[in-house]
Amino acid sequence: MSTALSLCGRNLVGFLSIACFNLADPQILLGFLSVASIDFLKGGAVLLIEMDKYKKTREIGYGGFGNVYQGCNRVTNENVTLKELWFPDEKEGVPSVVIKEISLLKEMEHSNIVRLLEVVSAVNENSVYLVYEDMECDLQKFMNDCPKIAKDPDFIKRFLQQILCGLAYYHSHNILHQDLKPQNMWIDRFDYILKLADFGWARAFGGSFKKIGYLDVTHWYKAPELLRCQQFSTPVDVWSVGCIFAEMVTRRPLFAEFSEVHQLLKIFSILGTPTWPEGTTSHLFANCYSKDLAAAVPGLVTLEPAGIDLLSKMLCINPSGRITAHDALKHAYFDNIEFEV
Amino acid sequence: TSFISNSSVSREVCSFMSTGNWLKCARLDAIKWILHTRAIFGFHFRTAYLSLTYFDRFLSRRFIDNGKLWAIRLLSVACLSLAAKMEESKVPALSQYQVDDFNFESNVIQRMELLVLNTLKWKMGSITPFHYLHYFITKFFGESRPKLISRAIE
Repeated sequence: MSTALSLCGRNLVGFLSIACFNLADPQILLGFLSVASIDFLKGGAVLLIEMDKYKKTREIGYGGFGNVYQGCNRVTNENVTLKELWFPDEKEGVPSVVIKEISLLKEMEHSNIVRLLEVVSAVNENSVYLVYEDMECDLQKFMNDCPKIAKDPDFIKRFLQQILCGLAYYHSHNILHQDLKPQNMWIDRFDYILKLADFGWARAFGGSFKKIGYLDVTHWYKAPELLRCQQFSTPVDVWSVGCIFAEMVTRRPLFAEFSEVHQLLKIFSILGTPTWPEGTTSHLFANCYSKDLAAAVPGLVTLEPAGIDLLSKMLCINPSGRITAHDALKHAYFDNIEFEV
Repeated sequence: TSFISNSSVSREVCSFMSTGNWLKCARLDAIKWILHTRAIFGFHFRTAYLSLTYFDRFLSRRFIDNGKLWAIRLLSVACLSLAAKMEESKVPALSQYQVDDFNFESNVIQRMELLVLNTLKWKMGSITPFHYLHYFITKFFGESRPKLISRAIE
């Protein structure tokens, strides 16, 4: 390729013929574009930021359209999380859903959302890697490893507030998360900052983030309207946060059944079976919770009354009656802590 | 033309054509191709507009040598294909983009797409004047006038 490179610099006609020749041969073609790339570049910056910059250290899970790895930056040694995204169809080029999602994620900037550092092309160019900041510890691990801190009422309040801040930010941009669970929330062990991660790309691909060595618990946090395959919107995320809130308090998942059907039955057994008014289709859940949450879940006795009230508003079966993330932040439960965001 | 430094202009080309002129011609040519292709695929006008903003943003960050028409063409294809993916509900396969003189394979176009995406730092959502048209027409006339909107767009 070095001959091609020197030729194209000097001679326009010669270069064009080389270009045509290369275009016919896929093997040379790969080199051809890197020549072209170098030419585009003049300034000397790196053209396609290649994956060489990062080293994959281990696979930590998988989500929609590819695996998730822990890795590090070869230059700075900084730890990162790498989310691979495959391009399923060569004829299509870079899939539109990938372009749309990444340009959306690029706009996201919030202290409670894991930062997307950059997007790098894989060497084979049939996938890209999303490079996120890495925080090593997720909420699930944190609850297991540091039970003393994790069950402290003030910490629970702080974590819940941060989850809701991140979520309110997502929702203010009309973005659903759809895959909120303790494994998808990173915690910085030094300053206890919690950040929402989104490695499953649930919204784009209907996938969810599954962590190696963990049970697949995705449906534990699914809102009833999702379990019933009804229309859904931002309230599904608030439901998941409610489940996580209860789990932080009681130290065990609130609804942990092995199938989606059992999951729904379990929800109804704890919150009461909804009733639908005469003549309406079962499209919407008409009735909110009918049982006393604190009585139905004994582990919740340690939670202050304002917390119980907030929790039951988040676990309202009817999505249109469920509290929004934005309103939840204004709830009396948070009155006695400083608002940080 | 301000984004082109004179030092990087190759001498041979400079002797018969100034950098700015070449790029202006090439850009005009790209616009023609984009508008023509837009009509063939039935894309919205805003898609063509968006692709041109990608084209200009790309050239404000990267340099294409004078005379490299193939590079301009490849860039036009990639920009239009990316804009279509952002704006249109149905997008053609890469092989359906017809470029006279050059026959770009899908994987070449995909590479160029990646190059454009990386150059534009994957920030592909742009606000274009089309987003405001409806608002202003409603404001000025006190009602929505779909015919006027479509005329204004054209």
